[in-house]
Amino acid sequence: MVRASRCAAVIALAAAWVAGTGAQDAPVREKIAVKAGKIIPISGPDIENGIIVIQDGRIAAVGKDLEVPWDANVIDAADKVVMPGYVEAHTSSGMGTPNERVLEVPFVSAKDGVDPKSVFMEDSLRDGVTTMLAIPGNDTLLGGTGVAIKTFGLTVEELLVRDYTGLKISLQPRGDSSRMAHLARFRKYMADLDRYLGEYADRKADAEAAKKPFDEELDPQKQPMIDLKNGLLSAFVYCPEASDVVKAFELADEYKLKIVPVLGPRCYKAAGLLARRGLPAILDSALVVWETNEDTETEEMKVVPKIMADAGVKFALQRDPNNYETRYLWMAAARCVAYGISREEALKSVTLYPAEIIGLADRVGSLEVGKDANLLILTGDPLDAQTWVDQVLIEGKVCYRRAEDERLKRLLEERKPPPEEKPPGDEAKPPEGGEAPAEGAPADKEKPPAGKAEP
Amino acid sequence: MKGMSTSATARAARGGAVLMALALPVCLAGAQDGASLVVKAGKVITMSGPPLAPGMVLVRDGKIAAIGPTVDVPEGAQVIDATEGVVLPGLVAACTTLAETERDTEESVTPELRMADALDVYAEFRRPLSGGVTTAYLSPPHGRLMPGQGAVAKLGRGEPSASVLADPCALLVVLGEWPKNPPLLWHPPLPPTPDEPSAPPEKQLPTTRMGELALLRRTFADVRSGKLTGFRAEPVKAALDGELQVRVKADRAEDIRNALALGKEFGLRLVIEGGTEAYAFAGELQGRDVPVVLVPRLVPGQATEVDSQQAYDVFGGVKPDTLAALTRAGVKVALSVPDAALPDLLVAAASAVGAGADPEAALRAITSDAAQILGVDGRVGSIAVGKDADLVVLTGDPLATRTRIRMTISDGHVVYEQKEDEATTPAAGKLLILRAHTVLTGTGALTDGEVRIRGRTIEAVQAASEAPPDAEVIDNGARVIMPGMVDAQSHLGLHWESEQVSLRPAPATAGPGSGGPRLVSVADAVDPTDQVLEDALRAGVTSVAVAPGEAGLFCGTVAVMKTGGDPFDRIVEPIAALKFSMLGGSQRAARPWQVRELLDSARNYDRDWTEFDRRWAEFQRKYERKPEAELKELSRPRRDGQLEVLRGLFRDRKPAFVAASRADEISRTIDVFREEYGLETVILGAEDADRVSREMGEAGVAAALGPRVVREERGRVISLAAVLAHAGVPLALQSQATSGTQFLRATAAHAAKLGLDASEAVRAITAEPARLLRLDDRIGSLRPGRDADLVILSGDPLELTSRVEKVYVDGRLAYDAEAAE
Repeated sequence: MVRASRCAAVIALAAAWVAGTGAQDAPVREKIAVKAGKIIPISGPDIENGIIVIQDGRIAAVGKDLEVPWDANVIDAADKVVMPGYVEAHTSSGMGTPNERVLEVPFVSAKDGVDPKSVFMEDSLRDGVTTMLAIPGNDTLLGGTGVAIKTFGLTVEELLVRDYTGLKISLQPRGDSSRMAHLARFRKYMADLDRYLGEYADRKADAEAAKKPFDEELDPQKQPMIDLKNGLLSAFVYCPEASDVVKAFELADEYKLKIVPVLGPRCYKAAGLLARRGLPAILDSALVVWETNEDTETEEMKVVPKIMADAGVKFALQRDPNNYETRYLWMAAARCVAYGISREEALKSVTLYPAEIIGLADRVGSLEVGKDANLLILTGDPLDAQTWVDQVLIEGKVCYRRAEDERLKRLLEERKPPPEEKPPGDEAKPPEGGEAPAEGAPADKEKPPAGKAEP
Repeated sequence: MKGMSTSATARAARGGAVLMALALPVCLAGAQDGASLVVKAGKVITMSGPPLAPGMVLVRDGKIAAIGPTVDVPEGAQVIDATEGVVLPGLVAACTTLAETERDTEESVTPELRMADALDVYAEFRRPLSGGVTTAYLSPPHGRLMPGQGAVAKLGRGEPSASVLADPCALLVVLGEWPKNPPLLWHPPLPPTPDEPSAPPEKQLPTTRMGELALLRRTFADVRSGKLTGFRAEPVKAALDGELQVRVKADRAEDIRNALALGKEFGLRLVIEGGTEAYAFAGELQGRDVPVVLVPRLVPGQATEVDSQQAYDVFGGVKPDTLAALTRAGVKVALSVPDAALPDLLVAAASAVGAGADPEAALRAITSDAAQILGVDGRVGSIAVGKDADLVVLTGDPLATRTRIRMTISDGHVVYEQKEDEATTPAAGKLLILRAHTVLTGTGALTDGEVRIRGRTIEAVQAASEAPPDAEVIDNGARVIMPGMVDAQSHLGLHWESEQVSLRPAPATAGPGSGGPRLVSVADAVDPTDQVLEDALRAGVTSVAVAPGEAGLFCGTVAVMKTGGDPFDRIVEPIAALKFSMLGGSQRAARPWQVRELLDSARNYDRDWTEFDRRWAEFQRKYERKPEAELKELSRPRRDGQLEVLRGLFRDRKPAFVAASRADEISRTIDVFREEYGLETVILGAEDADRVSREMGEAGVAAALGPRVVREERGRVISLAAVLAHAGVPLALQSQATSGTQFLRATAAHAAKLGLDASEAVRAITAEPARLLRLDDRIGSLRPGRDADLVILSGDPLELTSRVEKVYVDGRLAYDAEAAE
């Protein structure tokens, strides 16, 4: 609670500062009405020809046949689809190197690493992601704390939705270290922390008994771990393998931690365990794993979201911006639908579920009265490859207009038709035998044969 | 002090409780509640009493509910009939590294590490289970002095497949060569301050056997005196209090002696592990209650050398009679083997019997005694009412060589069952009939046709007609059957980017005479397990011509191999063609002369040898009639490796695959290879072929195009395939790829889109490449007598919307899209 109020104070301060500087990003004190051809509110059934009324950056009303306030600016999206901005529950992109080399650095904060002007932020906005949890990467035992941010703003303060959200714990042993050494390190840290807190309490009690002033502060480098122990922070535990999920729950039980499992692709084996624990999880960007069945010695395709959904595990999807196949949240959701997950669940896994995971379900993830007016105005269905993000509103402010997206325009500007070089089949061909990566092949074909260059 | 020790136990107990809490619902979910299982056996070796012959075991809820000569079979119980066989308790391997390979920590003394943390509970333990091992001690890695606490795991299948039975089980101490010379330790302060500056890395003990003992004594003494407390000291404290076993890895006599001395000094509960020279301590160990875990270096299928000193020192090559010597002295012994040999744990026991041990003692060492040493005999190690239902069903005497493990049961579930050996080739008599609306034969098409396959070959391709009664008929409805595609040239499996193929020939000017290696088929360099072969198979490409790249003039040989089927029988033709390169560079002008020089030598070589062979045969005929005839004027020509291969061009009419790109290179190829030497010539690449298409057509050379089948000139797109087909040039398509062969069909589709006749396009990826490689009697078309390699597509192969659904190689289903999903 203390922490929450402190956060609120930070946000208020930031807002005050922004207002004071007269920045373009000042909270919007006006009414907007969005007339939509179709509203996908996520939290309820779709609404045809609906209206969303926004006041002071929040949603004031959603529905059909609403009265448009006389003083509202009207955005006409009668031929468009409106849905909440995508939410990503876990990302380490957009902050340069996401990991410290020292294994125990709970005191670092993603807030100091996020780059508001990175191409990643720009791309995120263009692709409709409006809220995300930026958190240190998966390579450090106690990696540091995260921040919930929006994707539009010039400074980190402007980006902040909520500071100090989630602590990264990674169960991936670093380098040539073994799993048990890695876990023993964690237990040792916790034992040392217990001893430190005990001694601190003793000193405090001694001082009080002697009626002396006690002004020793708790070690700020340990503060996040203390907050974790006290349930003020939740741990985003990266589990590269299925057995690490077991360990994550073991640690959670032993130290009474609140955890969010961040899963590696092979963790599908732990679907049953996750379902029994009833915790939502964050899936890896690789949705499909091929594994050799030892019995039959054949390769089997494992569709991770399908296995999770069938087991009854709620999940959030995440992106890997380095890979074309996995760089869009909508595409990950669309692939889930292709693999037989219901459209509602797939859409929730990129909106409401991630919002719940990062504890912001009261503000983002669906179109409901009182929530932040984070809206995507799309040219068509969100899961359709032909659809463009036409406008993005974050907290009631239009942050992105496709018509003004210079970079996109330059990408798509009319050129002379490219020479017919490649067989068109390389792109159009359906992946045979599942997930044959389509990128490798054209590159191979382009490559001059060895020895050709060299006489 | 007492407080510390209880907290250690409390932690252990708590850890266990947590594990149980996690594992319990899983077990319940896995076991069919109330379901029971009965095993009927010719003999039940219980290890808890005399064997029962015959005997029956009743299993309920994963536990043994009853044993006896007969038990009441409950209704609905699954009965496993092994009346001819023998049942043993699940085997207990008292030393394995199943949880962790040898990854050591930095520090010499890390008693706080727990092996249970390293166990992958979702791993498959197929190999140990196939050897009847259902319980395993998980040892920490052996590279440090006190590397951590071992645990005991129960192996099975399901979710999760393993669970921890005892954690911790023992505190490991390693003596001997292993823990010497640990790395330097560096703990930089974070951040360094003037009070606490960054210090250089510290050296740590031990480098000698003295150092090992000194460091151990100091550790135990510091914990005993209370100088060392906390997280790290807890397990050591438990060991000092006798709550935790101390397992000492000690192979040589002096190490075992040191271990015993240390145990006595600190009152430790010892177990000796390894024990290479433990046979010498039979007397000393007698009556001291120090069990021994022997780990002989058994390699399955390989005789183990026990005499070498090296084996004693480093690998623990245990003398075979150690078990006999120790058990006779009343020492409790467990027997384990390295992980790779776990399927043969019974073999280790049998060899101990061969070296004089009592058969019962040998079996105890892998069951009840091993369980007792690990402290888990309340749950496993023998067949008794109330214990875990871990059983091994054998075909006969457990120590007999020909006995096989029929099945392994863990917690009442069959976790391993021996598969009947599958026939590697389909029964020759069985007829398989595949029907489809469209059958493309490679050279033509049939509507409502069928392909009859017997064994590995095609028996008939005809309009659908009545099937014989014993035939298996698969109707593929509106789908399309086509021959397995053939890639005219690729580099699959050669790992082009990463590793240079050693077949790289000498420069053309090096001349003949230097090329022994060129006798080699490029197929020998192909990695048959390469994933790209599987990728190609999934795309319907069943055969590929594999060739080295374009280095030098004579690039090497071209092999043809299949992408699926029996991995040891994939090579269709080891040397199907010879590859040359006329590609430019500074030597372009010299190339024709180099070719002439090379081909002249080859032709002369062929002539000389043909002449010699003819005369030799003549002489032999004569000799049979007239033995006194003399071998005159018959001098044997010199053998030459490279020319031997090149001779194939003339003797066997093997085709020359010539890489040529520019129009002049193509013309030169036609002039020399085709016109002057009359060789079967296939031009690879042929990017400028449109300029010389008429010349090519008239000269009768073929072309292998791809992956690009178009060329652009002054804004005009030229469809090479269509132009060449119009000029009457036989046409095949190639991927020329290390990993892109799966797009061969797309290349054909593209060629068809740009004007190549559809039937020609299909031909160019099936029958034509096979014909050019002179293998059309085996691959590339659906005709009687050809290999039964075929592809079933959802629609027209030239439509990219249709997908490969099934691929057959040699009459067997090699890929099934539906099953793969």
